[in-house]
Amino acid sequence: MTENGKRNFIIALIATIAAGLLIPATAVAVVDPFFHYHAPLKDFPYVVDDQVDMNPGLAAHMDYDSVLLGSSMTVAFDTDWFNEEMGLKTQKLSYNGAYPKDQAIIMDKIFNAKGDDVKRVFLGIDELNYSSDINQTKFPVTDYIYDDNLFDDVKYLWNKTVLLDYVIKPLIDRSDASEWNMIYKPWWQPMHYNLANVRLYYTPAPEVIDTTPTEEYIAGIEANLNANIIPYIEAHPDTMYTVFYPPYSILYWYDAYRQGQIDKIADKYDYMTRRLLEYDNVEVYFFQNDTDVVCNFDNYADHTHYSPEVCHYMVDCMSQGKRKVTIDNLDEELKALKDMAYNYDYESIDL
Amino acid sequence: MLFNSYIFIFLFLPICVAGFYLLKNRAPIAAKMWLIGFSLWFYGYFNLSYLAIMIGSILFNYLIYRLIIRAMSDEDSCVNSNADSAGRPMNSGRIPLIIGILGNVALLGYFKYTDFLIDSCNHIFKTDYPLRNILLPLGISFFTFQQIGFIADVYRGEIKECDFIDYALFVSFFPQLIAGPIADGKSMLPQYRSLGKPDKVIEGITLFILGLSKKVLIADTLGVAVDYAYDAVIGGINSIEALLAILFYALQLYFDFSGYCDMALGLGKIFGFEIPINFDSPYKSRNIIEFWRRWHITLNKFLSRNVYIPLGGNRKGNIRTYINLLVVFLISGIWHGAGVNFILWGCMHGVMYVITRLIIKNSKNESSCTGVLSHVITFVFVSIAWVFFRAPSVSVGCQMLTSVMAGGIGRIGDEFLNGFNSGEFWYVLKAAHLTGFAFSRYIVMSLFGLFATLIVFLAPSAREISGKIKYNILNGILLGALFAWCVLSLSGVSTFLYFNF
Repeated sequence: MTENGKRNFIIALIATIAAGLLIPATAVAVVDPFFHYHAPLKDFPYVVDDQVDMNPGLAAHMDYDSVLLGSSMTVAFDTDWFNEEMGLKTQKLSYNGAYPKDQAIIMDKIFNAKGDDVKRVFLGIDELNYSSDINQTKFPVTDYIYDDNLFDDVKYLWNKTVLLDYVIKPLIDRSDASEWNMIYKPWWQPMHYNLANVRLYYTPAPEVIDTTPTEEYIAGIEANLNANIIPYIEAHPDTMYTVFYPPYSILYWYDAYRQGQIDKIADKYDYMTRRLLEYDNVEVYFFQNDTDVVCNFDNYADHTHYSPEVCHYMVDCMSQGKRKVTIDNLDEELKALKDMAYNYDYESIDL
Repeated sequence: MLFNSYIFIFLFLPICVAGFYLLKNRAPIAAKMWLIGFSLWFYGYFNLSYLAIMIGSILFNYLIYRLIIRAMSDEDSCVNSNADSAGRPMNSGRIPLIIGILGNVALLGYFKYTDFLIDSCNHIFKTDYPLRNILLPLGISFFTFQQIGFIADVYRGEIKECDFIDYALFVSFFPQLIAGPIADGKSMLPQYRSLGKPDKVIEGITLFILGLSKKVLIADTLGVAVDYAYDAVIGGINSIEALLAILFYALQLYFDFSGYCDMALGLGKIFGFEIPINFDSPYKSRNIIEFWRRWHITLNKFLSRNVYIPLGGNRKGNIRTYINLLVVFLISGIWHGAGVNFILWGCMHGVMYVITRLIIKNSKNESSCTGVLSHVITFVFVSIAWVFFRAPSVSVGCQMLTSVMAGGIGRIGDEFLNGFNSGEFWYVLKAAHLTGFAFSRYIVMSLFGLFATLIVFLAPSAREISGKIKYNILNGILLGALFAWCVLSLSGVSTFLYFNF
């Protein structure tokens, strides 16, 4: 082995490593597919499909004056509707299966970036997840995205998945590029919203009566509101919080009926709504008892997820103040909910 | 700290190497202490409390070494008629040796087997003693065995002197600290004493990169399917998934563990040390006896020297020889893990070893157990035995084997295929115009599995490649690209399978 050969080998090795690390890191930093450093490039066909990794960047760098937060119950919204109906530039920041802690984490990012420029927060609340541990998140947060440690950004800059799936692949195949007003949209097409599709996913819950005392659920909700939601409402009195309870289909209530949970759920809504309405900057919309929506399976792709048309209807309602619940009409709305859930002819559903 | 982590590759290793070579010629003792310090950082990075255990173990064994040496020199200076055939006093150093072995076994036993024994006791005697939930210090099995080997070598008179710094470096040297190889003092201590010439640094870098590639690019890809199958097997997987999971685990374990050892050897060479070889293309073995000469070589040497031979080896007749072999494999099984599944795995190998030895011994044909059929049987047997090595319990292992026979023919699930759906594979499919093809992921999985299998059976080992590679521009570029690809694949870091042993 000649010394020359060794020297050439080492030079080639070092040069290739340097190039192999610098070029991908530069490409990731320039395109920044998770929006970690800057707003999206104007004409790059971004694929926006990773809520956990992309939401913090979207919150930090997008241009918006309002946000849409919540679980998968919020992904079918077209954010252009908020502009058309209310003149708002709304950013969708959904987390599928979101827990209250997920909302708190992203609200930190939002308010850190925009401060009091956030006019309105649209927050979909799923009562089911609001009794959970106050620190529970649906998915583990990605350290290099959520922390402020610059050093661990190497995991982003030198990341094969980021480079191949989110930088190079969109350039080769632009068909997956996201529309900014419809990011995170569900894969279901209009033809999937019908009873036949709902049936594919639905199995009635076992007829086992839920013996957990209502107080236990309420205590969980209280802890979550106190830790993850109310502090933001109090800290930003000039921001209007438009809370809405998503309308699950009547099959959701069929399960609740089979497990003796209807009264408990109504009590949870009662507690939650009264707590939230203590604040002047909170309004609450109640869609759970809207029978035109809830009892029509053409609105659903499975037993809880509703169609974009229902989303559009909800935006209409929120812009016009329809289906708004107040301390005065809360009892009436909850009674209507219980009447619907107890009296619906479940046997008539062709399951 | 893991070898396959950014902090190790870009911070720990460069500083460690630079500091070592700055000090090596000017102040060799400082250079050794530098390496010891970095090794302690490496180990403490996992869990600071582990450090105290390891340091305590080093101090204890060094004290035992001193006691053995003193006892032997005391007896040497006395007139002693009870000398063995080599002229050595029969009892010299035996007591400290026994104390040393018992101390090491007690340490290992406490951390590794306490909960297993309590759990077994509860099962057998229907008692309800609470588990202690003792956290197993990483690599404890390795550094404990290495030190038992050391004091045994001292007792045999094979190591006569060793200063404390060399000893501390011998035990703690980070490349072999966590998952071996189990180095022996006779070959390593002279190297640490003299800090040999760093004439194989490039070979070391090459070996490190090849080992890293085996781990990151191959083992971890296979691991996704294996993890899914073993998680899902109780709920039911089909025969094809079960069969592939068994094959893939055999490949994954080899690439993972031998990849780690290649990196360890490579790192050793970078510092100028020759760490003992632990793998020699084991799946090329034509029978199980050959397999155990090629797989985890240092453990087998240890067990041979310190268990098999002291038990009498093959000197006390056939029956005792076979019993001794079975004991060795039983200990090997227990050493690998606290669970009935590991004991079963060890026993399976022991029985197969004895059967193979019987066949060879009683055969008139000198080449028995060396043909293609024997090769196939060996690989199939080893792969089946790995099922109990990988499964969390014997029942899950049995369920996996049952699934092969009775799982039915079915479609391979998406979760199983997930590992073969990562970035680069899409580009391969795109280049082949197969992205829209419904079975494209099956093709990727099949090609990847075939590629890994061919490497295992036909390719030269990483050690052979690094020893023979021509150092030219093309190879520099290829190796550099491989390294960069590994670094880009590090996100979603996985641990090495052999860490918990």
